[in-house]
Amino acid sequence: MNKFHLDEFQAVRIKITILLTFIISLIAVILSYSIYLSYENQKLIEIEDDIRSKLIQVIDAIDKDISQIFKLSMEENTFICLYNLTDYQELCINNLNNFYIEKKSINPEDVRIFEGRNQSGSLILYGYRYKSQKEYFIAIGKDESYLKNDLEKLKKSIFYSVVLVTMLSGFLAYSVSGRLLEPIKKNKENLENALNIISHDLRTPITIIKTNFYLMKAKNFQNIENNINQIEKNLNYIQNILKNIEALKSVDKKEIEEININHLVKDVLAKFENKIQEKNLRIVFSEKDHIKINANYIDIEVCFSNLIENAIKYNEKNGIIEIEFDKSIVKIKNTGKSINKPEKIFEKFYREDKSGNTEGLGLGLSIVRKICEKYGFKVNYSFRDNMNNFIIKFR
Amino acid sequence: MKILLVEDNLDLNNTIREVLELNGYVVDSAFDGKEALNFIENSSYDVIILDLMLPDIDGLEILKTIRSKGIDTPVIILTAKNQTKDKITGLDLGADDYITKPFDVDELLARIRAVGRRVSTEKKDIVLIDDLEIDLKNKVVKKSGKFVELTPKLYCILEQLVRNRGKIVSYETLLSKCWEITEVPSRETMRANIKNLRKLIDPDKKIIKTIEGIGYRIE
Repeated sequence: MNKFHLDEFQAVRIKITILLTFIISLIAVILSYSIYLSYENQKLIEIEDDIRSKLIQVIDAIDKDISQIFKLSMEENTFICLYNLTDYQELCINNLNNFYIEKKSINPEDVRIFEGRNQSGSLILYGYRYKSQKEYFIAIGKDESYLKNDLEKLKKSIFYSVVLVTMLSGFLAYSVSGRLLEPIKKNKENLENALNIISHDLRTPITIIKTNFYLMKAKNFQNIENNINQIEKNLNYIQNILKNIEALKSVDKKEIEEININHLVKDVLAKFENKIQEKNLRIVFSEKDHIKINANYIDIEVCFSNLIENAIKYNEKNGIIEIEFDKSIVKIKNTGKSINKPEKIFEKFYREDKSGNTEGLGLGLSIVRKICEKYGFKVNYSFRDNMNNFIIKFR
Repeated sequence: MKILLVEDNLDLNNTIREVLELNGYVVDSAFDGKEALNFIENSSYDVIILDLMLPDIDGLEILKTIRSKGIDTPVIILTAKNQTKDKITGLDLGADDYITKPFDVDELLARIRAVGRRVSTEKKDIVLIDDLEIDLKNKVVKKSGKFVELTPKLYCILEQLVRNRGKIVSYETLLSKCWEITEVPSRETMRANIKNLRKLIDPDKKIIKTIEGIGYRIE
């Protein structure tokens, strides 16, 4: 049965998305709730201010001209009742449902007198006792149920906004986390690729060594010179893999010394004498200058070993390797086929030759570039005059 | 038995070849895909040992090509690729076995014997024909209980006849399977070898029958 399987990065991406979406949504909910509360509070303050302002206008009318009361603006859901406690009269202007004015005599005992703010159901009431020539009780009220409708609408729009914000934040979080994780994913893939290639490249020399041991035992350790040579050659190859990995791993914090590049290159060439002879290659030197640099010897040795090994490996039989030392530039040229994808050759683990040839670790030129970058040298490749040109500029 | 060894690494090819020859196999070595296909077209093999990562043609392509041509020689894939999906692809394309580097030589030899047995009419390791005893695993021959020393060539001819017991083995098959591709033997050479073989194991001509103009057979 095929199981739906999330890769590690997809799972992390989803976790990040969920977490970010949750945080953003929580912030959106808290903010919206604050806005809601502020709005509600603001509206209540407005109602109270309105009531107070009406109270002042009523008092003003009592003092000057009581008929001014009828000129007061009466918004919907509002009422004003003025009780004359001296003459037992009541005047009410009511606009709660329908507008009407009522004037009647009252029994003072029936009047429920209160002072200050009061709430009765959805009515916000304000009561005030006022004494001038006569004694009055003023009651002003406003029905806040219309406010509840407004708040309900606000609640709905807040809910839809939060849903929208959640969806948008989810989409953004997924897209941003994907971009942020991309370099980590690439590094992990590179590392896995590296381990695969190293493991692959170790398999063949180990097989050769094991098979040679079998042959040596089978031959009772007689006439085994060839087998020993093969074992030694392949052990050297394994050692070379390890050396290259080491150079790739840490090119910093190493001992720095003055290095004569001309001498170093000749020493490296001596190491490859057998391979050079196998292909019958001709080495042409052009030493216009002696180049001296300050660097770690092993780093530079690995750097030139890889370049020279390449020049041998990708050379044709009876080919040429030209090495030029000019001011602060070393050119290593070799005959042979041009490289198909020159832009890729300095990439880690890129191999032009995809076969399982033990000589193709795919690390060499990436290490060359890494070492050059560390010391501020420049390395370039070009194909000119039917030759592969690798140029290192030290300054 | 004749084996085609397709491996691009010179050292590994030479070493495995030496191991196989030491174990009595006749070996042709190919170092790339084109050479391998050329050998397969021009000779006949009992087993092909095939590396997957070759410089010119992918090993799996070679396998596909030979199977599409109806060549059913057992193929053992020998590779540094150790992923299960690679194994499945190889086996699905018609490989008979899969061995990953680094391997034990004894394991490789056992697998060669196993695929050899699968295509052989004689499934047992020790075969008795009259007073002749042939140990196909250890490549030992006894006549009336006494060891008989056979040259690799003579043993190869005998092994081919025993593995195809009851069937006629043509001159061409014997020439192709017991001589390397670089050797050019004639039928006279073959007859001389059969004569030597009979002298050692079948002086009364009771075991190896000559099918005039075609080849030989062991009943």
